[in-house]
Amino acid sequence: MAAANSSTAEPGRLHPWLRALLAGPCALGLTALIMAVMPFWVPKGIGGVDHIAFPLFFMPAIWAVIFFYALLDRRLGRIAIVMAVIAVIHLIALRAVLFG
Amino acid sequence: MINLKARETRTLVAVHGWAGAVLGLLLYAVIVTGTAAVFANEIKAWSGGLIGMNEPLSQPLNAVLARLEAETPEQFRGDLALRATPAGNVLAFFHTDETINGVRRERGILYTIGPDGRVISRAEGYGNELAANDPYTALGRFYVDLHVRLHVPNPWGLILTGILGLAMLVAAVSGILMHRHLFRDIFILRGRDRLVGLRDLHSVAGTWTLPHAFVLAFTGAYLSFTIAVALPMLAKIAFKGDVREMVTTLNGLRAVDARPAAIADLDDMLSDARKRAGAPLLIAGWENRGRADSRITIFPAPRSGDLTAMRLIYNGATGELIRERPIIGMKPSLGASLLGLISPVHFGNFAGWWSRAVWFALGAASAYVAWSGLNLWVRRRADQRGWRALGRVTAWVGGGLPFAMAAAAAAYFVSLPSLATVFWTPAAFLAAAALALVPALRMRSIERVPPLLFGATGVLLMALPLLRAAAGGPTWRAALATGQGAVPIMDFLVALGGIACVVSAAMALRPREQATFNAGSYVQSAE
Repeated sequence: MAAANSSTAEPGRLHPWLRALLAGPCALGLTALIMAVMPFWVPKGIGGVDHIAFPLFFMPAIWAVIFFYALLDRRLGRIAIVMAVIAVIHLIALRAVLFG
Repeated sequence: MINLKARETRTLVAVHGWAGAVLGLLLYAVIVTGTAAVFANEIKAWSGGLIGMNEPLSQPLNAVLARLEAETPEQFRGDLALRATPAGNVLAFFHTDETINGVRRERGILYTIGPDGRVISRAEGYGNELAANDPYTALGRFYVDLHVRLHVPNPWGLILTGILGLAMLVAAVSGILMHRHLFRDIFILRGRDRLVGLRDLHSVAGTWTLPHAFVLAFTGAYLSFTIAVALPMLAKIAFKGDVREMVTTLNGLRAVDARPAAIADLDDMLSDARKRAGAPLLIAGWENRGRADSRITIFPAPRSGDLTAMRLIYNGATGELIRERPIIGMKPSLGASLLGLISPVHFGNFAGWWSRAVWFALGAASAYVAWSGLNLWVRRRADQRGWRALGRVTAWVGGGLPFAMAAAAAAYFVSLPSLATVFWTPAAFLAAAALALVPALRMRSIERVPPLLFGATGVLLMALPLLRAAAGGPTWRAALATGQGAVPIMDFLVALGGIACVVSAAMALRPREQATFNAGSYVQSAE
């Protein structure tokens, strides 16, 4: 993905800060959101606890995937859209679970 | 060979460098203290001076506990926690739960029981405060607290170390991705007097320790964030704030039955648990003694060759085994197995002394990677005043932290006879850190500061076994007679570490042709 759009790279002094915003606080927030929704779609398993254990165990990996994606995709707009779509889907799911 | 485009490689190099530059010193502190904390239990056994016995929860306890219960106020008799200390004694805490400002706390009487039922100490108060004021484990706890939360109050300390874990993960992954010739370069060393030599050492040490660093970063971030943030968040969302449902899911349903009932024979239950577990018992928690819903949860050590152990739950009224259960949930599951892996893999305690020794060595190498990475960053910017200042701070922390940790240990032993270790251990650490600042600020050649401090660290380390003996610590013969091999082994390892520090310092400080900090030549040779 990163290599595919070298000709459309976006220069500018603001971009490093926007990327830092996406890879930093936004990645942390999205990780928390994904973790919060995971108990509602991860199967409980034979012990009835997998839906709690998996979000806890994979939390560093989820964050790392989002962080490196936000770091290495050349198009800031695409990063923002992908992260926003994932966030919106999870927010809707969370709202439905908590207040639905 | 990993082949990224030049732009992505530049980004990764920048992130790798800046993550290290911003958080490198704290990361170095966490890694160094974590390396020492690999031997936390051995340090507590070695430094405490209260020599006990092998498998203290296997001794008969009924008589002494009945006597102590009679001396304990009625209000604290409901719950009892038993813990085998690393030195081989038993901590018995008769307590009750109190809620203060919405937080549940345990208050009661803590007894330390030595071999043959001898009561060594008695203290009243809240459980966490009693543990924090124990003078015999102050040194081990000081190192562990420094590693776990850098002595920053909770939850911020855990969040800080969690962020450091993520930074270490970033450094490890970006280190792999940006390295063009990963497997070829791990054997290349081009001399230690030039910047390329330092980069080679950083690269080689970083590559060899990469799997270990990755695992530690992953599990460390998990351990910090789970306690501080993730579990409370999941409890609120997944169980909609219903604590009872969460406890039921994770630990099993508890039927409340407050009718009076007999108290089962503790020694029989501990003996049965020892046979079933096939390993020493570590902790036993007894709730609602004298009630029909009384339960005892026993935590054994893993069997030889196993990574985790099942917890055993007994009926506290009848003494019957109710069930065995994993770390979470009622039955073995993939989730419980994954969470059960975290502790042994992070602490390196899955194969006794051998695994801990390997974890210690890899931890020391990781500390060198963090420190050498910072040195590389600073030296390449040595013509800029701000980075030169960071260079002095790096030299101070790099050599000063081990020096201050050794000074804390020396002060611990000096103050042990007066039982003032809880104050003097951190006080000496801070004083030694301040003392280490003098050469870091005053010496012209900052390259000579760390070896100087390592030399001083070595002298202190070599003195520790003597200080331990002078403070009335057990002899090797007395320790070995009770199966406490930690005392002679730690004496030997500490002295050996001291000799290694002195020798390496002497080698680094001997005159060379060009040992001064010369930014221009370093930058040129690096390029």
